[in-house]
Amino acid sequence: MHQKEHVEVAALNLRSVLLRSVTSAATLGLLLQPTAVYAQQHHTEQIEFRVAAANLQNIRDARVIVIDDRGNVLGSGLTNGAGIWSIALPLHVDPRFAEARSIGTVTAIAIANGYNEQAVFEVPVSSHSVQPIILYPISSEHRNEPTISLGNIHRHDVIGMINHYAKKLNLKRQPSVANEVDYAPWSPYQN
Amino acid sequence: MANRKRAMLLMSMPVLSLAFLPGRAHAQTVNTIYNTAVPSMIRVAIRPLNNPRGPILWVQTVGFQNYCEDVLPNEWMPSWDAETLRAGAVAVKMFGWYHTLHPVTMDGWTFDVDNTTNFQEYNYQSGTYPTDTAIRDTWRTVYVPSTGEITELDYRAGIANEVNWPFLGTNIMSQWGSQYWGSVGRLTYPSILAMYYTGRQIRGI
Repeated sequence: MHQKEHVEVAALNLRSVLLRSVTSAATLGLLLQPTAVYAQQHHTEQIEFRVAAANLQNIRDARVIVIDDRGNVLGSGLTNGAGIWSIALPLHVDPRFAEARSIGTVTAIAIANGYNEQAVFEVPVSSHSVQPIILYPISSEHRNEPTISLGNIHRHDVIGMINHYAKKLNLKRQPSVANEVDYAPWSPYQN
Repeated sequence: MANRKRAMLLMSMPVLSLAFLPGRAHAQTVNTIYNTAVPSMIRVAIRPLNNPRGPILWVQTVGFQNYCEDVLPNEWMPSWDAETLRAGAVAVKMFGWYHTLHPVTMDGWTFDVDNTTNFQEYNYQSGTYPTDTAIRDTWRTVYVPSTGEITELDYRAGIANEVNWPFLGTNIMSQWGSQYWGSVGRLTYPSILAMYYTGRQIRGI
């Protein structure tokens, strides 16, 4: 990606964060911390896409397209012989997961000759990010439409997100579960 | 623990074969590290989107070490302390090894584990450098009773960023607790394992 495009992407992201900040009372504090916002937008993380077929064969020359939450293309490239393509992405922190750790999320599209396309939603951007994508071969016996999958968001990030919003709504826990240690799922009822 | 998992799977599937019932297979055999080699392969039932209640799509046979490398980063955070990851690596391996010795049959599929939290979360090609390193560093290490019996080392997430005291000595490791002991307590992985699993010791194979 050219330098100019980087600057435009960063500016768009910054505008997006500021807009969200204005519309959310919970994040108004960000307006008082411009340095934090600046750092957030300029921190990058490397993400590795690994494209393979359902029969575990790595797919060379698959095109991966990465899109941000504003619909902008952040980057695109072809996988190598190991089915891998990497890109450094700006870490635009997704506040839904902030309780567990700072991760961002993007959308990816994978396209390869001989395979149906796939859209991967909620691809996590964080340290040590790896996103496997499993493509399905074109078959005359199927409709061959694109497939959909979810990004490889870590279990602990999902648990952290649910805990965050359950606590925010002051929910109670359900009764304890046999054989579980100090754990019960959340209840729909509030304290 | 294996019986509990079987019960859980029983609830989720309407039709089961007789081979799935507990106690029918390997009833007379005690598998130990002295009479049983580390498996070279493991059969993983693939459920869509790693959904524990999803239907089995296919059974994938993968190399056992590759399986462990593609489980650890989905169960422990790759950014966690190196000793914590080593403790997780031993647990993941022992859990998988145990289940290769106790396969199940369901809806016509025979497999050792599935790709969900019914067993351990597995995603093909998801290995990371820190977790792959932890698997390799501990590959010749097991954590077993004095008899050498291959037992399941079970674990749960626990509460984030806390010590998770209730897990100590329960034979269930808290993943977040292991991170506390590795990063704050500065314990080595054998000491972390010893916090949770009783009557076992580190052995080389």
